[in-house]
Amino acid sequence: MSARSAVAGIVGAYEHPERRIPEGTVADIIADVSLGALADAGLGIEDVDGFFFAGVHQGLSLVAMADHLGLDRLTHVDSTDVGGASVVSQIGHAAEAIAAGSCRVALVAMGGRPLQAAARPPGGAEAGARYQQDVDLSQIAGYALVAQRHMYEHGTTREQLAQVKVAASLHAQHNPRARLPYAVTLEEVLDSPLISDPLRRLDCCVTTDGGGAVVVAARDVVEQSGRRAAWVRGWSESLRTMSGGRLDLMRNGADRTGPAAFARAGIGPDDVDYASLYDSFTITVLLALENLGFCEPGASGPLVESGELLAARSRLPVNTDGGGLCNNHPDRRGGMARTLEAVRQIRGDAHPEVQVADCDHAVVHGTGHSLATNASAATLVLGREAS
Amino acid sequence: MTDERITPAQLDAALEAELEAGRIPLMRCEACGAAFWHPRAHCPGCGARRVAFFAPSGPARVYAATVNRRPRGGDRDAAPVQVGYVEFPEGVRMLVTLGFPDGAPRIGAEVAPEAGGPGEPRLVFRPVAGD
Repeated sequence: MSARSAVAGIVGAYEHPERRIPEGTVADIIADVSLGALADAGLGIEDVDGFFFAGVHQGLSLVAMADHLGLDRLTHVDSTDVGGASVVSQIGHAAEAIAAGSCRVALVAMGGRPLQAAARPPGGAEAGARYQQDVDLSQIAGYALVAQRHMYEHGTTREQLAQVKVAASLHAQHNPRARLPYAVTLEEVLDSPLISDPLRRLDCCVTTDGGGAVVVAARDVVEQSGRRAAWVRGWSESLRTMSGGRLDLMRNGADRTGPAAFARAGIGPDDVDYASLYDSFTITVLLALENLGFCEPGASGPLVESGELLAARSRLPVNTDGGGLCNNHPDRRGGMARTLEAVRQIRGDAHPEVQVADCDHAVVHGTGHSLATNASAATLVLGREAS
Repeated sequence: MTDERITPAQLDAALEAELEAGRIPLMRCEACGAAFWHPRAHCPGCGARRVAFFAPSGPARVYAATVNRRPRGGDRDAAPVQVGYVEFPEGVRMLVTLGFPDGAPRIGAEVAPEAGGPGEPRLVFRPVAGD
Protein backbone atom coordinates (compact mmCIF):
# COMPACT_ATOMS: atom_id res chain seq x y z
CA MET A 1 0.00 0.00 0.00
CA SER A 2 1.58 3.28 -1.04
CA ALA A 3 1.22 6.39 1.06
CA ARG A 4 -1.23 8.96 -0.19
CA SER A 5 -2.02 12.54 0.64
CA ALA A 6 -4.59 12.91 3.41
CA VAL A 7 -8.07 13.80 2.20
CA ALA A 8 -9.44 14.61 5.67
CA GLY A 9 -8.26 16.47 8.72
CA ILE A 10 -9.38 17.03 12.29
CA VAL A 11 -10.24 20.71 12.18
CA GLY A 12 -12.24 21.04 15.40
CA ALA A 13 -11.65 19.52 18.82
CA TYR A 14 -13.12 19.98 22.26
CA GLU A 15 -12.67 18.28 25.64
CA HIS A 16 -15.36 18.80 28.28
CA PRO A 17 -13.65 20.83 31.01
CA GLU A 18 -15.31 19.02 33.93
CA ARG A 19 -14.44 15.67 35.43
CA ARG A 20 -17.53 15.37 37.66
CA ILE A 21 -20.90 16.44 36.27
CA PRO A 22 -23.75 16.02 38.78
CA GLU A 23 -26.34 17.96 36.75
CA GLY A 24 -28.00 17.17 33.43
CA THR A 25 -27.89 14.18 31.15
CA VAL A 26 -25.41 12.37 28.92
CA ALA A 27 -27.16 13.96 25.93
CA ASP A 28 -26.39 17.40 27.39
CA ILE A 29 -22.71 16.48 27.59
CA ILE A 30 -22.71 15.25 23.99
CA ALA A 31 -24.34 18.50 22.88
CA ASP A 32 -21.82 20.59 24.82
CA VAL A 33 -18.80 18.85 23.35
CA SER A 34 -20.26 18.72 19.83
CA LEU A 35 -20.97 22.44 19.76
CA GLY A 36 -17.55 23.08 21.27
CA ALA A 37 -15.77 21.14 18.54
CA LEU A 38 -17.83 22.75 15.79
CA ALA A 39 -17.10 26.23 17.18
CA ASP A 40 -13.40 25.37 17.24
CA ALA A 41 -13.69 24.44 13.55
CA GLY A 42 -15.60 27.60 12.69
CA LEU A 43 -18.51 25.44 11.58
CA GLY A 44 -22.11 24.95 12.72
CA ILE A 45 -24.62 22.18 13.23
CA GLU A 46 -26.01 22.92 9.75
CA ASP A 47 -22.66 21.99 8.21
CA VAL A 48 -22.58 18.45 9.63
CA ASP A 49 -23.42 15.71 7.13
CA GLY A 50 -21.64 12.80 8.86
CA PHE A 51 -22.36 11.68 12.45
CA PHE A 52 -20.32 9.09 14.35
CA PHE A 53 -21.59 8.15 17.79
CA ALA A 54 -21.82 4.99 19.92
CA GLY A 55 -24.20 5.34 22.83
CA VAL A 56 -26.33 2.23 22.90
CA HIS A 57 -24.28 0.89 25.83
CA GLN A 58 -25.75 3.71 27.90
CA GLY A 59 -29.21 3.67 26.35
CA LEU A 60 -28.65 6.55 23.94
CA SER A 61 -29.05 5.70 20.26
CA LEU A 62 -27.29 7.51 17.43
CA VAL A 63 -30.71 8.35 15.99
CA ALA A 64 -32.02 9.96 19.18
CA MET A 65 -28.74 11.82 19.64
CA ALA A 66 -28.85 13.16 16.07
CA ASP A 67 -32.37 14.42 16.73
CA HIS A 68 -31.30 16.04 20.01
CA LEU A 69 -28.41 17.83 18.30
CA GLY A 70 -30.53 18.92 15.34
CA LEU A 71 -28.55 17.07 12.67
CA ASP A 72 -30.97 17.28 9.73
CA ARG A 73 -28.64 16.97 6.76
CA LEU A 74 -26.88 13.67 7.40
CA THR A 75 -25.65 11.60 4.48
CA HIS A 76 -23.48 9.23 6.52
CA VAL A 77 -23.94 7.72 10.00
CA ASP A 78 -21.82 5.21 11.95
CA SER A 79 -22.38 3.82 15.45
CA THR A 80 -19.34 1.53 15.57
CA ASP A 81 -18.83 0.40 19.15
CA VAL A 82 -15.56 -1.37 19.93
CA GLY A 83 -15.42 -0.24 23.54
CA GLY A 84 -12.82 2.30 24.59
CA ALA A 85 -11.25 2.42 21.12
CA SER A 86 -14.56 3.34 19.46
CA VAL A 87 -13.84 6.93 18.51
CA VAL A 88 -10.37 6.02 17.21
CA SER A 89 -12.04 3.57 14.83
CA GLN A 90 -14.76 6.09 14.03
CA ILE A 91 -12.25 8.79 13.04
CA GLY A 92 -10.71 6.33 10.60
CA HIS A 93 -14.17 5.53 9.27
CA ALA A 94 -14.89 9.25 8.92
CA ALA A 95 -11.75 9.74 6.84
CA GLU A 96 -12.79 6.83 4.63
CA ALA A 97 -16.33 8.18 4.28
CA ILE A 98 -14.93 11.56 3.27
CA ALA A 99 -12.57 9.91 0.79
CA ALA A 100 -15.54 8.05 -0.69
CA GLY A 101 -17.53 11.26 -1.05
CA SER A 102 -20.14 10.05 1.42
CA CYS A 103 -19.85 13.12 3.65
CA ARG A 104 -17.70 16.26 4.02
CA VAL A 105 -18.07 17.36 7.66
CA ALA A 106 -18.07 14.49 10.14
CA LEU A 107 -18.88 14.99 13.81
CA VAL A 108 -17.43 12.34 16.16
CA ALA A 109 -18.66 12.69 19.75
CA MET A 110 -18.77 10.78 23.02
CA GLY A 111 -19.45 11.33 26.70
CA GLY A 112 -20.84 9.82 29.85
CA ARG A 113 -21.42 10.18 33.59
CA PRO A 114 -20.17 6.98 35.21
CA LEU A 115 -19.61 8.75 38.55
CA GLN A 116 -23.34 9.49 38.74
CA ALA A 117 -24.53 5.93 38.13
CA ALA A 118 -26.02 4.13 41.10
CA ALA A 119 -24.58 0.82 39.96
CA ARG A 120 -21.86 -0.34 37.64
CA PRO A 121 -22.92 -0.83 34.03
CA PRO A 122 -23.99 -4.32 33.07
CA GLY A 123 -21.22 -6.53 31.78
CA GLY A 124 -20.65 -10.09 30.74
CA ALA A 125 -23.34 -10.17 28.09
CA GLU A 126 -20.85 -11.31 25.47
CA ALA A 127 -21.64 -14.30 23.31
CA GLY A 128 -19.34 -16.76 25.04
CA ALA A 129 -19.62 -15.48 28.59
CA ARG A 130 -22.28 -17.98 29.66
CA TYR A 131 -19.92 -20.82 28.85
CA GLN A 132 -16.99 -19.50 30.84
CA GLN A 133 -17.73 -21.26 34.12
CA ASP A 134 -18.48 -18.19 36.19
CA VAL A 135 -14.84 -17.14 36.50
CA ASP A 136 -14.81 -13.87 38.44
CA LEU A 137 -12.61 -11.90 36.07
CA SER A 138 -13.05 -8.21 36.79
CA GLN A 139 -11.58 -5.68 34.37
CA ILE A 140 -8.54 -5.09 36.57
CA ALA A 141 -8.02 -8.82 37.23
CA GLY A 142 -7.92 -9.38 33.48
CA TYR A 143 -5.23 -6.76 32.98
CA ALA A 144 -3.41 -8.19 35.99
CA LEU A 145 -3.15 -11.48 34.09
CA VAL A 146 -1.52 -9.64 31.20
CA ALA A 147 0.88 -7.87 33.57
CA GLN A 148 1.84 -11.13 35.32
CA ARG A 149 2.52 -12.79 32.00
CA HIS A 150 4.64 -9.81 30.86
CA MET A 151 6.69 -9.99 34.06
CA TYR A 152 7.09 -13.76 33.61
CA GLU A 153 8.11 -13.66 29.95
CA HIS A 154 10.21 -10.52 29.94
CA GLY A 155 11.35 -9.90 33.49
CA THR A 156 9.39 -6.66 33.64
CA THR A 157 9.45 -5.26 37.17
CA ARG A 158 6.81 -3.85 39.43
CA GLU A 159 8.77 -0.58 39.46
CA GLN A 160 8.75 -0.36 35.67
CA LEU A 161 4.96 -0.62 35.63
CA ALA A 162 4.78 2.10 38.25
CA GLN A 163 6.94 4.42 36.14
CA VAL A 164 4.12 4.65 33.60
CA LYS A 165 1.92 6.24 36.27
CA VAL A 166 4.73 8.49 37.47
CA ALA A 167 5.33 9.79 33.93
CA ALA A 168 1.60 10.45 33.43
CA SER A 169 1.46 12.36 36.70
CA LEU A 170 4.48 14.52 35.84
CA HIS A 171 2.51 15.60 32.76
CA ALA A 172 -0.78 15.97 34.64
CA GLN A 173 0.70 18.48 37.06
CA HIS A 174 0.64 20.96 34.15
CA ASN A 175 -3.03 20.23 33.42
CA PRO A 176 -5.28 22.02 35.93
CA ARG A 177 -8.31 20.20 34.53
CA ALA A 178 -6.82 16.77 35.27
CA ARG A 179 -8.66 14.55 37.72
CA LEU A 180 -5.30 14.01 39.52
CA PRO A 181 -3.37 17.22 38.74
CA TYR A 182 -0.25 16.48 40.76
CA ALA A 183 2.98 14.51 40.65
CA VAL A 184 2.93 10.98 42.07
CA THR A 185 6.08 9.25 43.32
CA LEU A 186 7.20 5.72 42.60
CA GLU A 187 6.74 4.90 46.28
CA GLU A 188 3.17 6.18 46.26
CA VAL A 189 2.31 3.85 43.38
CA LEU A 190 4.01 0.88 45.06
CA ASP A 191 2.33 1.64 48.39
CA SER A 192 -1.18 2.06 46.98
CA PRO A 193 -3.65 -0.76 47.79
CA LEU A 194 -3.11 -4.04 45.98
CA ILE A 195 -6.24 -4.80 43.94
CA SER A 196 -5.28 -7.78 41.77
CA ASP A 197 -1.67 -8.93 41.78
CA PRO A 198 0.45 -7.20 40.60
CA LEU A 199 -1.80 -4.21 39.88
CA ARG A 200 -2.42 -1.62 42.55
CA ARG A 201 -4.91 1.20 42.73
CA LEU A 202 -2.53 3.70 41.13
CA ASP A 203 -1.95 1.35 38.18
CA CYS A 204 -5.56 2.09 37.19
CA CYS A 205 -6.93 4.97 35.17
CA VAL A 206 -9.27 7.48 36.74
CA THR A 207 -13.03 7.27 36.31
CA THR A 208 -14.54 10.55 35.18
CA ASP A 209 -17.72 12.16 33.92
CA GLY A 210 -17.27 14.17 30.76
CA GLY A 211 -16.63 13.68 27.09
CA GLY A 212 -15.23 15.16 23.94
CA ALA A 213 -15.75 15.64 20.23
CA VAL A 214 -13.81 16.19 17.05
CA VAL A 215 -14.80 17.45 13.61
CA VAL A 216 -13.20 15.57 10.72
CA ALA A 217 -13.55 17.51 7.48
CA ALA A 218 -12.72 17.21 3.81
CA ARG A 219 -9.61 18.94 2.56
CA ASP A 220 -11.45 21.87 0.93
CA VAL A 221 -13.45 22.47 4.12
CA VAL A 222 -10.23 22.46 6.14
CA GLU A 223 -8.57 24.90 3.76
CA GLN A 224 -11.58 27.25 3.74
CA SER A 225 -11.73 27.20 7.54
CA GLY A 226 -8.30 28.74 7.91
CA ARG A 227 -7.82 26.56 11.02
CA ARG A 228 -4.83 24.34 11.67
CA ALA A 229 -5.76 20.71 11.18
CA ALA A 230 -4.43 17.38 12.33
CA TRP A 231 -4.50 15.50 9.04
CA VAL A 232 -5.61 11.87 9.16
CA ARG A 233 -2.59 10.37 7.41
CA GLY A 234 -3.17 6.72 8.26
CA TRP A 235 -5.46 4.51 10.25
CA SER A 236 -6.24 0.87 10.88
CA GLU A 237 -8.42 -1.23 13.15
CA SER A 238 -8.59 -4.87 14.18
CA LEU A 239 -9.75 -7.21 16.91
CA ARG A 240 -7.65 -9.57 18.97
CA THR A 241 -10.16 -12.05 20.30
CA MET A 242 -9.73 -15.21 22.38
CA SER A 243 -9.52 -17.16 19.08
CA GLY A 244 -10.99 -20.33 20.50
CA GLY A 245 -8.39 -20.33 23.28
CA ARG A 246 -5.34 -19.57 21.11
CA LEU A 247 -4.91 -16.01 22.31
CA ASP A 248 -1.47 -14.57 23.10
CA LEU A 249 -1.72 -12.13 26.00
CA MET A 250 1.40 -10.29 24.78
CA ARG A 251 -0.39 -9.20 21.60
CA ASN A 252 -2.88 -6.34 21.73
CA GLY A 253 -3.85 -6.07 18.05
CA ALA A 254 -1.48 -3.17 17.37
CA ASP A 255 0.92 -5.65 15.81
CA ARG A 256 -1.60 -5.56 12.95
CA THR A 257 -2.95 -2.03 13.11
CA GLY A 258 0.39 -0.28 13.64
CA PRO A 259 2.12 -1.48 10.47
CA ALA A 260 -1.06 -0.93 8.43
CA ALA A 261 -1.55 2.62 9.70
CA PHE A 262 2.13 3.49 9.24
CA ALA A 263 2.07 2.10 5.67
CA ARG A 264 -0.89 4.27 4.77
CA ALA A 265 0.85 7.31 6.22
CA GLY A 266 4.14 6.49 4.54
CA ILE A 267 6.12 6.76 7.79
CA GLY A 268 7.52 4.41 10.40
CA PRO A 269 7.69 4.36 14.21
CA ASP A 270 10.97 6.32 14.16
CA ASP A 271 9.20 9.25 12.47
CA VAL A 272 6.68 9.68 15.29
CA ASP A 273 7.13 12.76 17.47
CA TYR A 274 4.35 12.11 19.99
CA ALA A 275 2.10 9.18 20.95
CA SER A 276 -1.22 9.05 22.75
CA LEU A 277 -1.40 5.48 24.00
CA TYR A 278 -4.52 4.08 25.63
CA ASP A 279 -3.72 3.74 29.33
CA SER A 280 -6.60 2.05 31.08
CA PHE A 281 -3.87 0.47 33.22
CA THR A 282 -0.10 0.88 33.31
CA ILE A 283 0.40 -2.46 31.53
CA THR A 284 -1.78 -1.28 28.64
CA VAL A 285 0.92 1.26 27.69
CA LEU A 286 3.73 -1.32 27.73
CA LEU A 287 1.90 -3.57 25.28
CA ALA A 288 1.12 -0.64 22.98
CA LEU A 289 4.79 0.47 22.88
CA GLU A 290 5.90 -3.03 21.87
CA ASN A 291 3.12 -3.94 19.47
CA LEU A 292 3.28 -0.61 17.62
CA GLY A 293 7.00 -1.16 17.07
CA PHE A 294 8.34 1.64 19.26
CA CYS A 295 10.55 -1.02 20.87
CA GLU A 296 11.21 -4.75 20.65
CA PRO A 297 8.87 -7.22 22.37
CA GLY A 298 9.75 -7.26 26.06
CA ALA A 299 11.81 -4.04 25.92
CA SER A 300 9.11 -1.63 27.08
CA GLY A 301 9.88 -1.99 30.79
CA PRO A 302 13.47 -0.73 30.56
CA LEU A 303 12.36 1.88 28.03
CA VAL A 304 9.80 3.34 30.43
CA GLU A 305 12.28 3.19 33.31
CA SER A 306 14.69 5.34 31.28
CA GLY A 307 12.12 8.15 31.19
CA GLU A 308 11.14 7.57 27.58
CA LEU A 309 7.53 8.66 28.12
CA LEU A 310 8.42 12.08 29.52
CA ALA A 311 7.89 15.25 27.52
CA ALA A 312 10.91 16.91 29.10
CA ARG A 313 13.43 14.18 28.35
CA SER A 314 12.30 11.91 25.57
CA ARG A 315 12.18 11.68 21.82
CA LEU A 316 8.77 10.00 22.13
CA PRO A 317 6.64 11.72 24.76
CA VAL A 318 3.46 9.82 25.64
CA ASN A 319 0.14 11.11 27.03
CA THR A 320 1.27 14.66 27.78
CA ASP A 321 -2.16 15.66 29.17
CA GLY A 322 -1.76 13.11 31.98
CA GLY A 323 -3.59 10.40 30.05
CA GLY A 324 -6.33 8.26 31.45
CA LEU A 325 -4.08 7.42 34.38
CA CYS A 326 -4.28 11.00 35.69
CA ASN A 327 -6.31 13.32 33.47
CA ASN A 328 -9.52 11.98 31.97
CA HIS A 329 -11.25 8.70 31.08
CA PRO A 330 -14.87 9.77 30.48
CA ASP A 331 -17.53 7.10 30.18
CA ARG A 332 -14.77 4.58 31.03
CA ARG A 333 -13.57 5.05 27.42
CA GLY A 334 -10.25 6.71 26.72
CA GLY A 335 -10.14 6.93 22.93
CA MET A 336 -11.44 10.48 22.65
CA ALA A 337 -9.37 11.99 25.44
CA ARG A 338 -6.22 10.40 23.99
CA THR A 339 -7.08 11.69 20.50
CA LEU A 340 -7.65 15.23 21.76
CA GLU A 341 -4.14 15.52 23.22
CA ALA A 342 -2.63 14.27 19.96
CA VAL A 343 -4.58 16.95 18.08
CA ARG A 344 -3.27 19.58 20.53
CA GLN A 345 0.29 18.41 19.97
CA ILE A 346 -0.04 18.55 16.17
CA ARG A 347 -1.65 22.00 16.29
CA GLY A 348 0.85 23.31 18.84
CA ASP A 349 -1.89 23.82 21.42
CA ALA A 350 -0.51 21.60 24.21
CA HIS A 351 0.63 23.14 27.49
CA PRO A 352 4.01 24.85 26.92
CA GLU A 353 5.66 22.59 29.52
CA VAL A 354 4.74 19.50 27.52
CA GLN A 355 4.44 20.76 23.93
CA VAL A 356 6.66 18.80 21.57
CA ALA A 357 8.76 21.08 19.37
CA ASP A 358 7.99 20.62 15.65
CA CYS A 359 5.43 17.88 16.18
CA ASP A 360 5.01 16.64 12.61
CA HIS A 361 3.58 13.19 13.30
CA ALA A 362 1.49 11.85 16.17
CA VAL A 363 0.08 8.40 16.79
CA VAL A 364 -3.09 7.57 18.68
CA HIS A 365 -3.66 3.98 19.72
CA GLY A 366 -6.89 2.79 21.31
CA THR A 367 -7.44 -0.48 23.17
CA GLY A 368 -11.03 -1.49 23.86
CA HIS A 369 -12.87 -4.13 25.86
CA SER A 370 -10.31 -6.35 27.65
CA LEU A 371 -6.77 -7.36 26.74
CA ALA A 372 -7.36 -10.51 28.80
CA THR A 373 -10.24 -11.77 26.66
CA ASN A 374 -11.53 -9.93 23.60
CA ALA A 375 -9.74 -6.70 22.71
CA SER A 376 -10.25 -4.09 20.03
CA ALA A 377 -7.38 -2.13 18.51
CA ALA A 378 -7.42 1.08 16.49
CA THR A 379 -4.48 3.20 15.38
CA LEU A 380 -4.41 6.69 13.87
CA VAL A 381 -1.44 8.50 12.38
CA LEU A 382 -2.00 12.26 12.45
CA GLY A 383 0.16 14.74 10.57
CA ARG A 384 0.81 18.49 10.67
CA GLU A 385 0.88 18.40 6.87
CA ALA A 386 -1.48 16.52 4.56
CA SER A 387 1.40 14.66 2.91
CA MET B 1 -28.23 -34.27 4.01
CA THR B 2 -28.53 -34.76 7.73
CA ASP B 3 -28.39 -31.79 10.04
CA GLU B 4 -25.62 -32.61 12.52
CA ARG B 5 -25.68 -29.34 14.38
CA ILE B 6 -25.93 -29.29 18.14
CA THR B 7 -28.91 -27.31 19.39
CA PRO B 8 -28.37 -24.74 22.18
CA ALA B 9 -30.27 -26.97 24.59
CA GLN B 10 -28.09 -29.95 23.69
CA LEU B 11 -24.92 -27.92 24.17
CA ASP B 12 -26.09 -26.65 27.54
CA ALA B 13 -26.96 -30.17 28.65
CA ALA B 14 -23.65 -31.58 27.44
CA LEU B 15 -21.67 -28.82 29.16
CA GLU B 16 -23.64 -29.41 32.34
CA ALA B 17 -22.80 -33.12 32.18
CA GLU B 18 -19.08 -32.38 31.66
CA LEU B 19 -18.93 -30.03 34.64
CA GLU B 20 -21.04 -32.34 36.79
CA ALA B 21 -18.57 -35.14 36.09
CA GLY B 22 -15.65 -32.88 36.95
CA ARG B 23 -14.29 -32.96 33.41
CA ILE B 24 -12.55 -30.09 31.61
CA PRO B 25 -15.01 -28.54 29.13
CA LEU B 26 -12.67 -28.47 26.12
CA MET B 27 -14.16 -29.06 22.69
CA ARG B 28 -12.74 -30.39 19.44
CA CYS B 29 -13.89 -30.16 15.85
CA GLU B 30 -14.51 -33.54 14.29
CA ALA B 31 -13.97 -32.06 10.83
CA CYS B 32 -10.64 -30.17 11.12
CA GLY B 33 -9.45 -31.56 14.46
CA ALA B 34 -8.90 -28.15 16.07
CA ALA B 35 -9.36 -27.96 19.81
CA PHE B 36 -11.09 -24.86 21.19
CA TRP B 37 -12.50 -23.08 24.19
CA HIS B 38 -15.06 -21.63 25.06
CA PRO B 39 -17.70 -24.25 24.20
CA ARG B 40 -19.95 -23.48 21.24
CA ALA B 41 -21.97 -25.41 18.68
CA HIS B 42 -19.59 -24.76 15.78
CA CYS B 43 -15.83 -24.83 15.19
CA PRO B 44 -14.26 -21.35 15.37
CA GLY B 45 -11.47 -22.64 13.13
CA CYS B 46 -13.41 -23.99 10.14
CA GLY B 47 -17.09 -23.39 10.88
CA ALA B 48 -18.05 -27.06 10.88
CA ARG B 49 -20.99 -28.07 13.04
CA ARG B 50 -19.57 -31.43 14.12
CA VAL B 51 -18.01 -30.62 17.48
CA ALA B 52 -17.76 -32.57 20.72
CA PHE B 53 -16.24 -32.43 24.18
CA PHE B 54 -12.96 -34.32 24.57
CA ALA B 55 -10.29 -34.97 27.18
CA PRO B 56 -6.98 -33.10 26.67
CA SER B 57 -3.95 -35.28 25.94
CA GLY B 58 -1.92 -34.12 28.90
CA PRO B 59 -1.81 -31.94 31.97
CA ALA B 60 -2.75 -28.28 32.24
CA ARG B 61 -0.16 -25.69 33.20
CA VAL B 62 -0.76 -22.16 34.43
CA TYR B 63 -0.19 -19.60 31.64
CA ALA B 64 -1.16 -16.47 33.60
CA ALA B 65 -2.56 -15.92 37.08
CA THR B 66 -3.65 -13.24 39.50
CA VAL B 67 -5.22 -12.96 42.93
CA ASN B 68 -8.20 -10.64 42.68
CA ARG B 69 -8.61 -8.95 46.06
CA ARG B 70 -11.73 -7.08 45.00
CA PRO B 71 -13.92 -9.82 43.51
CA ARG B 72 -17.69 -9.69 43.11
CA GLY B 73 -17.81 -6.23 41.63
CA GLY B 74 -15.27 -4.72 44.01
CA ASP B 75 -16.56 -6.09 47.32
CA ARG B 76 -13.90 -5.27 49.94
CA ASP B 77 -15.20 -7.93 52.31
CA ALA B 78 -15.16 -10.80 49.82
CA ALA B 79 -12.36 -13.35 50.09
CA PRO B 80 -9.65 -13.05 47.40
CA VAL B 81 -10.23 -15.11 44.26
CA GLN B 82 -7.46 -16.75 42.21
CA VAL B 83 -8.10 -16.60 38.49
CA GLY B 84 -5.97 -17.34 35.48
CA TYR B 85 -5.45 -19.03 32.17
CA VAL B 86 -4.34 -22.64 32.01
CA GLU B 87 -2.80 -24.10 28.86
CA PHE B 88 -3.34 -27.61 27.52
CA PRO B 89 -0.94 -29.59 25.30
CA GLU B 90 -3.26 -28.87 22.36
CA GLY B 91 -2.23 -25.20 22.68
CA VAL B 92 -5.61 -24.03 23.92
CA ARG B 93 -5.80 -21.66 26.89
CA MET B 94 -8.81 -21.67 29.21
CA LEU B 95 -9.90 -19.07 31.72
CA VAL B 96 -10.37 -20.79 35.08
CA THR B 97 -10.57 -20.34 38.82
CA LEU B 98 -7.35 -21.48 40.51
CA GLY B 99 -6.95 -22.83 44.01
CA PHE B 100 -3.37 -22.72 45.28
CA PRO B 101 -3.47 -23.52 49.02
CA ASP B 102 -0.76 -20.94 49.77
CA GLY B 103 -2.75 -18.25 47.97
CA ALA B 104 0.02 -17.67 45.43
CA PRO B 105 -0.71 -19.19 42.00
CA ARG B 106 2.42 -19.73 39.94
CA ILE B 107 2.84 -19.49 36.18
CA GLY B 108 4.17 -22.79 34.79
CA ALA B 109 2.78 -24.95 37.60
CA GLU B 110 0.89 -28.11 36.67
CA VAL B 111 -2.72 -28.02 37.82
CA ALA B 112 -5.69 -30.35 37.72
CA PRO B 113 -9.41 -29.68 38.17
CA GLU B 114 -11.29 -30.62 41.29
CA ALA B 115 -14.87 -30.00 42.31
CA GLY B 116 -15.14 -26.57 43.88
CA GLY B 117 -16.20 -26.14 47.48
CA PRO B 118 -19.11 -24.06 48.80
CA GLY B 119 -19.22 -20.64 47.13
CA GLU B 120 -16.67 -21.69 44.51
CA PRO B 121 -17.24 -22.48 40.82
CA ARG B 122 -17.81 -26.13 40.05
CA LEU B 123 -14.28 -26.61 38.74
CA VAL B 124 -11.26 -25.27 40.58
CA PHE B 125 -7.78 -26.00 39.21
CA ARG B 126 -5.40 -26.91 42.03
CA PRO B 127 -1.66 -27.64 41.86
CA VAL B 128 -0.72 -31.29 41.58
CA ALA B 129 1.66 -32.73 44.17
CA GLY B 130 5.22 -31.57 43.73
CA ASP B 131 4.39 -28.58 41.54
